[in-house]
Amino acid sequence: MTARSVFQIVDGRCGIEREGAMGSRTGRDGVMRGIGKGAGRSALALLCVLLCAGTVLADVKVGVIGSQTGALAVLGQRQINAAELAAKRWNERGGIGGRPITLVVEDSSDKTTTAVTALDRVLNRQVCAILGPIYSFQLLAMFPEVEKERIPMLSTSGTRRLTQMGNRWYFRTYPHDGITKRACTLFVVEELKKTRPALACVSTEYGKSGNEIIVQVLKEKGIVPVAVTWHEKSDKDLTGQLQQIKRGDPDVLISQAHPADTAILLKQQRDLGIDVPHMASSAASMPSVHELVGAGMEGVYVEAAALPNFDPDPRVQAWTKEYVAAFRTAPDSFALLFYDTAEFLFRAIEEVGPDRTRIRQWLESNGHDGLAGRYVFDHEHNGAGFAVIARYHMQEGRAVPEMKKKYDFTQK
Amino acid sequence: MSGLSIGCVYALAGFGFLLVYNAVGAVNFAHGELVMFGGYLGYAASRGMGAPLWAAFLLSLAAMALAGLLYSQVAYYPMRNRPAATVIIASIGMSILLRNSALALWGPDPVKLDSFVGDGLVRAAGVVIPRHQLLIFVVTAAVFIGQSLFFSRTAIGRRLQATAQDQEAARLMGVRVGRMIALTFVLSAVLAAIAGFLLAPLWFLEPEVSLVIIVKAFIAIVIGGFGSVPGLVAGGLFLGVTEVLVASHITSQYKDVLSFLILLTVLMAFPRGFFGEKIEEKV
Repeated sequence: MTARSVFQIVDGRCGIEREGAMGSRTGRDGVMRGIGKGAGRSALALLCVLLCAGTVLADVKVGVIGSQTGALAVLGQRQINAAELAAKRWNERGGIGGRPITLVVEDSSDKTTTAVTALDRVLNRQVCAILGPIYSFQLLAMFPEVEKERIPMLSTSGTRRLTQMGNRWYFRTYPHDGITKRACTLFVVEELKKTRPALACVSTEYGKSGNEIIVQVLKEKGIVPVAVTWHEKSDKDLTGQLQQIKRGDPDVLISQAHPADTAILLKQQRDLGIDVPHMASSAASMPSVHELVGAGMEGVYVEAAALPNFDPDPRVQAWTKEYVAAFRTAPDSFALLFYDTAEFLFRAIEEVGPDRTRIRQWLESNGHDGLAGRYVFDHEHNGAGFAVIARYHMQEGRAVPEMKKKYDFTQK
Repeated sequence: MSGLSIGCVYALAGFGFLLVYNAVGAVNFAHGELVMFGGYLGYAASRGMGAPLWAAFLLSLAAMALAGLLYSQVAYYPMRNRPAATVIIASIGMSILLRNSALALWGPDPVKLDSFVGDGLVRAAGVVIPRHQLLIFVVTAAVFIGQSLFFSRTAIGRRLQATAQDQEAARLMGVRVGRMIALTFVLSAVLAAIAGFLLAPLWFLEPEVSLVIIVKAFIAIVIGGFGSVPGLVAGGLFLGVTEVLVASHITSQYKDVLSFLILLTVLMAFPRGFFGEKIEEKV
């Protein structure tokens, strides 16, 4: 049975009379059929145009994971702000190749489980790279997934071990503890001439890493700490630890802690009358810590990667002003370096496109001159080798740093 | 001294919790958030509105009294005839709501509330004591003496006690049980505000501090004997001193582990806590 005969039978049953070959006919049906074909082709063409345009104009998605809630949010939110500022500046200049940058922001809170959940959410949005959280215990939990997804992740964590684990997709844009802890320990021994240090460390990966390096550097100088104490990041009272330190009769206290517990250490050291110099970790450079500690910041030594609120560089001053205007809070060194990190990443995407492997390769082969300093990744993917030691003094109710020594181990 | 002052704070923070438990038999896991809110309201009044600290304190007390009343109507009253688990879940829900509200209102940065006596230190006989810790001792003593007099010597205090002991019997005696329960929640919230004002200069205020408060207060109540006010004081002091002594003389790295082991040992020796009472019910 031919197609034509089938058509005739169908038409016959429907009561339609048709003549001629199926699909071609002069008169009204033929015109309608022609109009239909033309409309169909036009729609198809329009769809193709729209798809192509959509592809061309699709935004560049970059994941940003940081603590917005929980005990560690004081650092995380400032970093997220910095990334948003970087994206805003790029988008004002036309984005990347005419495509706007869209940040996919997720909250990693203060636990490993929430960090991994945040990573999953970000990956589901098909981002091409991730600006990761600062906390090493969260990063360590995220590493297996990052490696499996083969996605570049950059963050400003200082814990040494992170870049010693062979993860080729992780890039560190902050001077690691091997640099900062060596700098502050050498400063204590060589500049302050102290021989009886006590250590107060938080029991996270950050604290343990810093502790190891401080003890190692002291050992190189033939010095043994008179007391080593530990505390949880959520501890609110460190009296017991400070009593133990006091009994050791130290001539200096070196701390490696997060912002809230650093503030408690500084305050309670004073409350207990432990009148020795305090060499604090970078958390003590944060304006939020100065607000808490108040006059207790007088004489405190601090190691930091940068001091944006006091940097004489006009570019840093302009950036700080813009940050304060946008977010109504002062930035800290972590925010500044996270901003530099975002800029570095956006440059990489601009050069090679949103291709994860090519981004990684570009980062490995190129450097970046940021606001805080120059970033060049070594074979372990450590990108920042600069640190400063400052001493804070109270001036008109404000903690103001006096730069004491600058260290720069950056590869040229 | 530090351990004792911390213990006093635990006891003070737990007192409001205990009041509600004694009155209605409900465990209020949002009590830590009420302590935190009491401190934050004081901070908002003193730093945000520029009010003197004493005015901020009074404002906080008033606001928390109102909050306690609202809390009783929203989180307890609708659930009062439901199983205990429902009431507990409701209080956990309120805890999450209040904590996130604090985060939304004041952000994640820790903030400091000034002390009434400043940051000064008192040095005596080779001991250095912050003035604020002395204030904690004085206020805690005043609160517990005051509550003892209130409940035993005043008519309303006796009515509250009657309600706590047996609501039905109290109702039959003409006590307006509903109002007494609401008053209990109000008192609990006011005590939380006082605890918040004492704690904030010491620990700094942040939304997550509420979790630490409720855990410590709960432990103090358990080891002191659930339902016992003298037990709460003893439990709080014991917990505070134990934590400091363990961290200071034994180990700071495993401070919490050892502290909890000691607590478990105490509970094995005193299963109902130091001052717990054996209650028999006739079946």
